[in-house]
Amino acid sequence: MEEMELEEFLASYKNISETTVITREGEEIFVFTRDIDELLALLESEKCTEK
Amino acid sequence: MQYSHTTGAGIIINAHKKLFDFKLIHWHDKTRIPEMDLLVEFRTDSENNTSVVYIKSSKYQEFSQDSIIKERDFWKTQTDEELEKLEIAVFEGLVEQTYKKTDYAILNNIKPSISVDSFIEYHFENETNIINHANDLPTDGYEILDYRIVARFLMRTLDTLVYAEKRITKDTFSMYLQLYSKLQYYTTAYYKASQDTAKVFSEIFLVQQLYFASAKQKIINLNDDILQNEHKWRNLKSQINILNNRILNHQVKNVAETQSKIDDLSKQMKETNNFIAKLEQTKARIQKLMQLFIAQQKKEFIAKFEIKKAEIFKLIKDAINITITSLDNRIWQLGMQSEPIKNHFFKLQSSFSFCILAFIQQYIKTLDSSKLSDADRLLNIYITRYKERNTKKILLISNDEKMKFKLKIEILSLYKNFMVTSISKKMEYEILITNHKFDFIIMDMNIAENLADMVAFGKSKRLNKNAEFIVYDF
Repeated sequence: MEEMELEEFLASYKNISETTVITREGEEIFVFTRDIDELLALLESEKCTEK
Repeated sequence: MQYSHTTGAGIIINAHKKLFDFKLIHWHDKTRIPEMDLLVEFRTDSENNTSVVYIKSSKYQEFSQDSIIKERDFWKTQTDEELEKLEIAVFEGLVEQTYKKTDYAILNNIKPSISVDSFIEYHFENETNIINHANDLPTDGYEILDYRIVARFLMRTLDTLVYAEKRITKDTFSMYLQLYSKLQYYTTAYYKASQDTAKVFSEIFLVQQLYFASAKQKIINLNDDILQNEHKWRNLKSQINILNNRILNHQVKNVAETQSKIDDLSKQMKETNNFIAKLEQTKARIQKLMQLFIAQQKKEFIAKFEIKKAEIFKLIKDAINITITSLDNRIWQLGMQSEPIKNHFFKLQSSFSFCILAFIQQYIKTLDSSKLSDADRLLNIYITRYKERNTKKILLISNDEKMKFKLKIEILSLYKNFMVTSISKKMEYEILITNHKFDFIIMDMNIAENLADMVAFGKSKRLNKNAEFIVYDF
């Protein structure tokens, strides 16, 4: 997944189509997605690691 | 036999390929539920009628190569009683044959016709087959449920699904329900009592031992012989007394001849006495051999049967847990795909997916936590710990009700133990994020203009600093 700084994201999020990790000073804040399947995949990977 | 759980009706076929209808009200069997291919015993109200008025499962379901009666015998007979009589007759025939072939005068050892190991294996054959069947059910990595705690919510969950979704019937789950019913029977006090080691040893194991049964038959015959000879001995004695009295009372013409008769009878009496002694000796020896057989077999039997029984009881418990978990997973899969369930169940509630857990949660909510019964206290502890180990909590924030609902259903269809709390207001978010821990916080990009501040607020909270935040804009 690509990474992007928060400031940059806030300025240009309308143009972002790919699922992106949003960071502030290199630290992850949230993941942004426009794809429901990718959102579900993020949850899916988490539940798999925990089982 | 064929049976539908939905209609509560079934069809039986007999040896002449004649079909009979039956209804569940005529099923008189607490040990099993009706199921496909089950061998049954039944009665109709009249000879020409095909309507069954009484039906139950036969105690004969498996016919192994070694069993003394075969499946064809089952079809030839009308009732278990008849088949049991046939089984006894066949066994008695074998005992008779063995008895005739054995020379008890030189017999110095009674050997087992079935070893303890073989007997135990055969004795628990049905249980083992059912356990293996249950163990093959998929559980998809989910924690195995404890049937003792969750079973009372199973039918409620299943009935809700079947009632709401008309395309799904109980027959969809018949394989699970049949397995569950069989396994449940194995957990009853009645079944457990029937597996009492001493009882199984004396009432089943010993009874099935051919050489032992032959020896037992020999004892019966020896007793008869002894009685007969004792009777003969008494007759001889009485005859001798009569003749002696006649001599004493001068009632005989030829004393020498009478005395010779007495001598002859005395000789016979002595021979009879010796014969009785010999029979008694043989009897005592066989009884000793039988006692030795019992002592030797009992020691081995008790040790091995106790171990196997404990193992089987544990495996039954595990199998029933696997069955209920697999069934719950299947209910969840079908429930989450069902439009009526989505429209009714999830519109009214629920943070949980459509599974037993959701119904337990609903029930617990109705309880007064200060007045819990022992069973409910146990349920509460169990479910709290289960959730701690398994549940992934998700907070979903959006103003778009339609999308939020769609997303919630998608999430709950992904993993049975996801729990989704849906909200639409920033204030609700602030309260929840401060007081509850979540694994994921999923936000609609359009929830607020200051979304980055909302994320930062959430991350600043002790409980949610490690939660994963996902922002979407579909």
